[in-house]
Formats: sequence, C-alpha cells, structure tokens
Amino acid sequence: MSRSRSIRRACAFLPLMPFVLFIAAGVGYTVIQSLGLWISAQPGESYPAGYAVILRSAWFYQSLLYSLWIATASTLLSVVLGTLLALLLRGLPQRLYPFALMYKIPLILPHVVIGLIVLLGFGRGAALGRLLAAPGSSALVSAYVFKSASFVTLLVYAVLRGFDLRQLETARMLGAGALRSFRALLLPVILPPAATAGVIVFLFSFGAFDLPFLLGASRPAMLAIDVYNRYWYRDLSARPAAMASLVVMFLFSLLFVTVYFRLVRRQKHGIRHV
Amino acid sequence: MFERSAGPAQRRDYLRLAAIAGLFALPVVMLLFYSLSARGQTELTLRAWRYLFAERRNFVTALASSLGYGFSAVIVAFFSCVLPAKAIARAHGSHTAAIEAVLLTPALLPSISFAIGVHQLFIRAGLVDTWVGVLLILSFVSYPYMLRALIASYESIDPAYEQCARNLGAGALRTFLRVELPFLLPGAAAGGSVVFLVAFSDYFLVFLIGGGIVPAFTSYLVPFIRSADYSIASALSIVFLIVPIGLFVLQDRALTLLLQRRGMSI
Repeated sequence: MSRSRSIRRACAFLPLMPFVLFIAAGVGYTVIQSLGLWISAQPGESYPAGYAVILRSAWFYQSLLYSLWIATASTLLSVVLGTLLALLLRGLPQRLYPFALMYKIPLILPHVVIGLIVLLGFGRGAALGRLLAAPGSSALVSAYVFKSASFVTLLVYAVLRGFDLRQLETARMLGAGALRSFRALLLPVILPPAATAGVIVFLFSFGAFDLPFLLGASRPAMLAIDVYNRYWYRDLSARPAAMASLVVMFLFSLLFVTVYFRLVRRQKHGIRHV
Repeated sequence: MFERSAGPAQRRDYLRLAAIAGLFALPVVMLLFYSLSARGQTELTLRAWRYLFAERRNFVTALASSLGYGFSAVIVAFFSCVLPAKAIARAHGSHTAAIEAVLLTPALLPSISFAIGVHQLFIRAGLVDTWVGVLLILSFVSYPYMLRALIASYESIDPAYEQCARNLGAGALRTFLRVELPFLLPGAAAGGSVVFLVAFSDYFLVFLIGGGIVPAFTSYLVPFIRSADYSIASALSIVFLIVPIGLFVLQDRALTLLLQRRGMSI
C-alpha cells in the first residue's frame, strides 16, 4: 500500500524528468570536455585537461575576480537603492500609488533593451556613448542596478505592505531616535527579503551573458564572455580550458544557490522569487 | 488595518513620485525621443518607424516567432509542472524540500554554465537551429517560475475539496478541471507571466540554439544596437515594452471575467 503510493508519488515527477536530465547531461558534457575528452569527432584524438591551463593562466583569475567584483557592486547598489525605493513607495498615499507602479518597467524590459538604455544614457550620440561605455564596468553595473533594483523593491515592498507604519510613530513617542527605530523595527522586516533578492541579483550579474555582450569591455572580460569567445573563436585545443572555467563558474553559482535555499527555508512563509 | 494614509497627497508625496518617474519613466521617454531622431540631427524624423514599416515582413516574423515560443514555453511549463507541484505541496517533508530546491535550481544558475553543454547534445540530437530546440532550452530555464507558483497555489487549496469531489463520484480529470484548476489559475497566470517574459526576452539562448536561423525579436534588435543605429533600436525597444504590457492587461481582464463568471473573486 505505502509502496505503491510512493511509486505513484515518484511518477508525479516524470513530466519534469526530461528537463532535469537534459540539464544534468549538459553539465556532464561540460565536465567531460573540461577533462579534455570528447572534444573532437575523430576517435583517439585527445587533449590535456583544462584545469591545469586555467590555474596557470592570468586571464582566468582576472575574469573570475572581475565577474565577482561586478556582481558584488551590482548587488550592493541594487539592494540599497531597491530598499530605499520600497520605503519610499510605502510612504506614498493610496491615491498616488497606482502611478508609482512604473517602478516595474525595468522588470518587463529585456536585458538587451536595458543595455540600449544605458548606452543612450551614458552619452548623447553614439560616439560619446561608446567612449564612455568603453571601460565597461560603470556601464555594466548601472545596467544591472537599473534592472535589479526594481526586483529588490518588488520583494521588499511585498513585506513592507504588511508593516504597520504606526509602529514607527509609537517608537518616536516613546523617545526612540530615527536610527534606533529603523534598526529595531524596520530592519528585521526588510532584511530577509533583501537578502534573498540580493543573492539572486548576485547570481544573475555574476554569470549572465546578454548585458556584458552589449556593454562589457573585452579585457578584463566577464567570465561568461571570456568562456564564450574561447569556446567558439579559438581552435579545439582551447575548449578544455573554456569548459573548465564553466565548471568553476557552475560550482561558484551552486554555492550561492545553496545559500539562497538556506535563506528561503528560514523564512518559510516569506515572499520569494522561485 | 495597515493601510496607508487615504488623505490628500502632499507636496512631498508629489516630489517622491517625480523622483520615481525620473528614474523609470524617463528612460522610456528617452527611447521614444531617440526613435524619432536621426543620427547627428536635432529635428524629429519618422525614419526609424518608416524603416520598420518597410521591413514589416522580417519584423513581424521575428515578433511572431518570439511570441510563439514565449506562449509555448508557458504551456509546456504548465503541463509539466502541475503534477510535480501537487506532489510537492501535498507531501510535507524535508526530502521534498530538497527535491523542490533541485527542481528550482535551473532558474537560478547562470544559463551559460549548462547551455554550451546542452548545445553540444542538441547538435547530436539534431535540435540545433530548430524552433523546437529553442523552445526546449527556454523551457529548461523558465519552468521553475511556473513550478513555484503552482506549488504555492496547491498549498493554498484544502485537500478536503478534492476528497469531497472524489466522494461525490468525480473522476481524477473532472476533479482537476472543475475543482482544482479554478484555484490554480491566478497562480498559473502569475507564474506564466514570468515564464513568458523570460522566454520572450532572452537573447543568448535563442542565439546559441537558434543559430540565427530561428527568427527572434531579440536577435532582430541586437544588430541595430551593435551597429549603433540607435533610432531603429529604440523604436524596436518600444514595441518590446508595449507587447508584454498589452498582454498583461488582456490576461488580467480575461482572468477576472473568467473567475467572476464562476463566482470567485481574486
């Protein structure tokens, strides 16, 4: 009885199995090629593993550090700005709130359009825009912040909606200063959604392709771009190293995914992204 | 109980709203302005919009293809996630939490970390440069949003409803269609919107698996940005903003009407 039930329960997951298997196979293929195997269609032809190459090369560390740095800067700025925006929204009177919904515009816009907006905003006319955007970092971080701050706002505002503003008044009447009432009352409410949103923003700006493809510099490049160029525009012997960097990127991301689910589990009934 | 003040807006509130508008509406105004301007000139021109009209066949093909795989991704996600979502919502245990986490992970990982490997597999399977291949890879990264939304919906349905319907003689399919589906719809619509947006706006995966052969709105737009033809790129971006907003409004109206007819409020 209970065995047939657990079999039935396992069968419920069958519709998603093809997806999971394909993704697992994709990761498996990446690992195999990173070891220098299955690179060429010719049997017997083999290449050395990519890990020794990336550990000895400067570009890999540069790209990895650069990606981590861009992701950290984008995350911190998005979380701070997004939270401030959520507080600002919470303070708006009912009548004006529908107009303020335009903060969701960046959530709808595709990344390539966000990239265009940053290119337009960074200078009048194409030439100057390119010149200013050339260093990459500032354009890239602005694009990520423009896109992600709204996302942070969405999650933080969802919990702030249930926060009784009169608590702040009470705290003030009881003699608490602005900083103290913020730390004692608002921060515990804001922190959990801001943290989960932050992890997602970090993961996204760490490994995405679209925005650095449009805005990024080529040296140092974001890891995703570097890997892509090494995989497609060099000869086959460059592939193990490219795949090895993808494996490192995958492991780093997995670490942050674990952090995300830890955070989410702690706030069982909180607002979440996925 | 926790409602914001219903009183008249003060000047301070209008200033706050203006700050939000400056941040989020100004870029859209900027796109509109650029779509009406020509390179190096100050006067307004309809050149970009005329160009799009003259090129309407390519433009509409690209848009239709993107809408096509966007909607298909929503349908694929719904049908593949219904049963797993129910199983996860009904079983409260730490092992299902782990299964749930694994199933949601593809949306959180950088897609490139598995997409190049998947591309190699797709080459062997003959799925590269095909519409089906594009739909598949987009489904891989977008189904978790539907799964999460459906889990949340199932968690809010009392299992007694299902038991009641079954006791009254309804079969599994009938119970699903008449009892569960109406409760699932708002969640499915919310999850579906995200799935659609993810699939519709993606550039990299469509470009990788579609290889420039499968038409896509993003693949149509990017060359204009890369070649710094900002007026046409801006005009296309405006279409990019209008299409999803229009769809959301339609979806919201349709859902409200549907549920009202069944006597449910949302």
